[in-house]
Amino acid sequence: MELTQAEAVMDLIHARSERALAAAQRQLQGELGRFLGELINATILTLSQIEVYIDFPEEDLPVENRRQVVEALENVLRGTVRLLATQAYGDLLRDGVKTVLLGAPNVGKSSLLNALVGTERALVSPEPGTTRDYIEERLHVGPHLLRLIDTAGINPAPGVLEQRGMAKTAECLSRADLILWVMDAALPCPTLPPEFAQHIRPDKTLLVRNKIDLVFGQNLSDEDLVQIKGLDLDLPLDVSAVTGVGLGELRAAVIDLVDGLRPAFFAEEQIAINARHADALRRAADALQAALSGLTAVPPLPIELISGDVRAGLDALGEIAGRVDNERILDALFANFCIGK
Amino acid sequence: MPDSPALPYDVIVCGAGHAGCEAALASARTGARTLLLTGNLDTVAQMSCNPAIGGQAKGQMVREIDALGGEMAINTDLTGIQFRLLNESKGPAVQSPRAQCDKKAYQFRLKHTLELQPNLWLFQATVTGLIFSANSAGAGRSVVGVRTNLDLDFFGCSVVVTTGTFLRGLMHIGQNKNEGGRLGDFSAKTLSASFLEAGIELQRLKTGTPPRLSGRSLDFSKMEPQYGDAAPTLFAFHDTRDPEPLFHVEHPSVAGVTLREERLGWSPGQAQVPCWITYTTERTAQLVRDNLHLSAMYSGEIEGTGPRYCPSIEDKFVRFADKPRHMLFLEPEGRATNEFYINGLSTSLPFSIQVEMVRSIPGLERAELLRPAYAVEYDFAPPTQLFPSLESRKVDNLFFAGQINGTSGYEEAASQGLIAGVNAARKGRGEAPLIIARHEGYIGVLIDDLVTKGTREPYRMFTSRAEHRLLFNHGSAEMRLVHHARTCGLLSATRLARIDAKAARIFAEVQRLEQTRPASSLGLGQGTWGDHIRHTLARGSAGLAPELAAKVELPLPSEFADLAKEERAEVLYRVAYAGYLAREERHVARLSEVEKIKIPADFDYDQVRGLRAESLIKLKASRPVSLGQAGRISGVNPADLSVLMVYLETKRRRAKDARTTHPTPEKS
Repeated sequence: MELTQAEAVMDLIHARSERALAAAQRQLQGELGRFLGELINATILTLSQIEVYIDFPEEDLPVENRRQVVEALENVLRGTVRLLATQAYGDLLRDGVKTVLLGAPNVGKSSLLNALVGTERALVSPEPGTTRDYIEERLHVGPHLLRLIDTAGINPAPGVLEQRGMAKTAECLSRADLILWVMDAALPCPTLPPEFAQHIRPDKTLLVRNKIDLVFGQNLSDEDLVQIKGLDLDLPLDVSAVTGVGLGELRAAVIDLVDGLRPAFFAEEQIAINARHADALRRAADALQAALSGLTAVPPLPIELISGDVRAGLDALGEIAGRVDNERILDALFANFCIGK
Repeated sequence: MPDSPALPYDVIVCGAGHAGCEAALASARTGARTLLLTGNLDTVAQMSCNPAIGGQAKGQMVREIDALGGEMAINTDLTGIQFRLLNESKGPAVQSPRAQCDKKAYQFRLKHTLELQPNLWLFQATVTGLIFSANSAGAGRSVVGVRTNLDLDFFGCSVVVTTGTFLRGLMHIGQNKNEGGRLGDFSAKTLSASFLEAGIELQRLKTGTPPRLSGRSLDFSKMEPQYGDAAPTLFAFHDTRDPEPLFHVEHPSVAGVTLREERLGWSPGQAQVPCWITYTTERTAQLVRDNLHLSAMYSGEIEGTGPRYCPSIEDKFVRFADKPRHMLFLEPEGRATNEFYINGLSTSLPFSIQVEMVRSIPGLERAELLRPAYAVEYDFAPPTQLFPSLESRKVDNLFFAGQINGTSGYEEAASQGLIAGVNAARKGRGEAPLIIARHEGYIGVLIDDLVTKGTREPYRMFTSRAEHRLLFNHGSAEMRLVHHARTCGLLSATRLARIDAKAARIFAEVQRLEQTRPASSLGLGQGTWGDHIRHTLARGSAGLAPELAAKVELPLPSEFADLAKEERAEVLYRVAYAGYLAREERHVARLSEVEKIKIPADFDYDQVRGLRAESLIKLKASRPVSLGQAGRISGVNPADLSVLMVYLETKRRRAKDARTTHPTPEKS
């Protein structure tokens, strides 16, 4: 640990209120502590199954079962990644849901944004391609805070300026928690360029058919249906930013989708790990991944190197829940194997 | 012999087991006038349990002992009757040499070594108590000498205590009890009172040993032989060792004639003898189950805690009831005896049951027992009462080593003995103690674990106890510890120079392989020699084991081929594991920062705001010498360490600022 880190922890201890500290402590003793404890115990058990074959080569041990070790480590890795996902939820709570508005020029993305926000924050003009850069707006939708990111439109034949805007859009899409893909009800939907389409996932994308007031009752074209089905998306929500038709349904759909982003496994007590936890968990995940790669390589890496990676993972988990003493690995080893001459 | 208070010894060592012998030799070799007292000069360096040295982690420790000028390695090489390298199929870091020894030859050679050692006097007497005086500061006490059963007192500046299992030793065979630290030997009954008087806490531990069998009664055709390696891995660094007069038990040195190792008839690793493997049967299990109530351990006769890694046969059948049979090794006790040690059959059942049990085992149906199995309980002083130098925190100039510190094993004992002996001698000269860091070797891990965490059972070393075991391959012991050997004067100038030269050759060759490329005419393609070695070894079925590098299909450059075998192995290890070793070194560098932050002996933990109550209690109880040590105390968590670190750092900076702004202290 470096001094700067140590000072940061000191700040935490002194600068924050007793209640903040108590709250953090409660979380460690609560759901997070319990979940971490399970991960740590599973890792200790696995490490003991590795170490017994290193430290007791002369013993009459059962045949080494690497498959079991791999499965156990995969489980711990999954748990670690799940726990890490709660940081994203923490960010979601704190910073808002990153929501990207996507669509061809002039489908009325900015109008829709304005209708949702209720102010004239985005610049709206009938000239296609007005929004070349992206702008941000925050709004509450039900219990959620949405950070709306308006993007430059999709242009099949972009100029230099538009090209730059599109690269930014692709980047926004890759990091989006929620994508509102807006199409013009009166026009055929342009085919999404592959660099956009790769970020379209059904669990984070809502398709919106704007300007429904202009074509009331008209169905989607077959071409549009093929593209939507191809991306595995639900049928679009019909709305009109001008008349307000369908905006209520859109809000409900947004709330529903964002609810789904919250990790499902901490039902009662909310876990939202902090940045320090996330850093340790990320290092744990990296180390476990390295161990798994070593185990499954052909030929596998020497076992003492794999053990080193598992141990590094355990140490990283221990940074959150408390250092894991070597003795606990030996405890597990002697409890599970008949050792000794 | 100097024996009055006016003319004391520099160091008195009590006990001549594996700890005591190394302590006495190390102390005398660094120039301290040393007295070694033992209750029986005929049992010097006795292997009270199995006649073997080395094994996992222990083998590496023996090589470290050799690197620090100790005797265990060379003594094993010259009296070993079977040598095997364990874990040969795994990487070099976890490979360990192990040897069966001729038990008597081992003792005789070590006794003779003690007799020939300048500055060292031997005397047979049982130490019955310590002589204290108030220490110079007037607080607490220091030891100034020892009393013996012969009513002779001996005085010394420092005293090293290595009591083994003899401190209030009590042996159990079923319901039968005998006082003594070893079958046929005495018990040190009064010395414990001296420790208690000085405020040193004592607790009980237990250990056990199996029966010994007569070889003529065994049917080896029903057992599986286990042979030594054709090319034995020895313990001592013969490649850098001085051509000192090394003598052999069968060829004692004769005045005026210098005997050399290579001239001896029984040269290291030659004419090896096998061990034999057999198994317990269902009948053995039944006998144990039926008679459990008669076992000293299961009938509540024994209060001490035994080692989990060395369970009695009762424990094995009770705790692992579903395991149908247990493996047993018959180990020969020497070339000149037909006595066999039966490894794996430690028990405290009554003798009559032992006989039936032994005879229920294939090959042992008609076995004659020469000595019974027994359990022994003894006092130990929880080692958290020691400084990392192995000096007592309670009594100045009093050092502890071996089983009295709660350890088990000859190698663990010898390691501590060596360190305690060196430090007892250095204390008398006012020199800083020798402390091996955790990242430098198993000896460092051993002592740090003991003084920081203590132990609940007889402590044995395992490679998994070492965070940096990748750095602890047995072949690198000399290079890891040479700076300590130099500082403490543990090796001759000749040997130091040879180690330096060896290290230089290894470093240069590693660098050359990493920086040069094979000639394009070899058709190996891009990359340095290092890249090719890593690639070739990683493809091989044996992983990266450099020992198999001889089989590597690379036309390695002649500079490499010209190195000695051990040097080639070290070079290949460093090249093949380069990335992992570098990562380990970075880890060590990060950790050693906190080791450098010292905590003053009189540090007031109550001043530190923000420590949790549990940590405060633990820190005040164990008084760590550095922030690094504090971090290894169980219950002290990273946040507590941060608090402590910032406090110490702030204090240090303030003190530094005060010094720079006020070069001359103001007078008041």
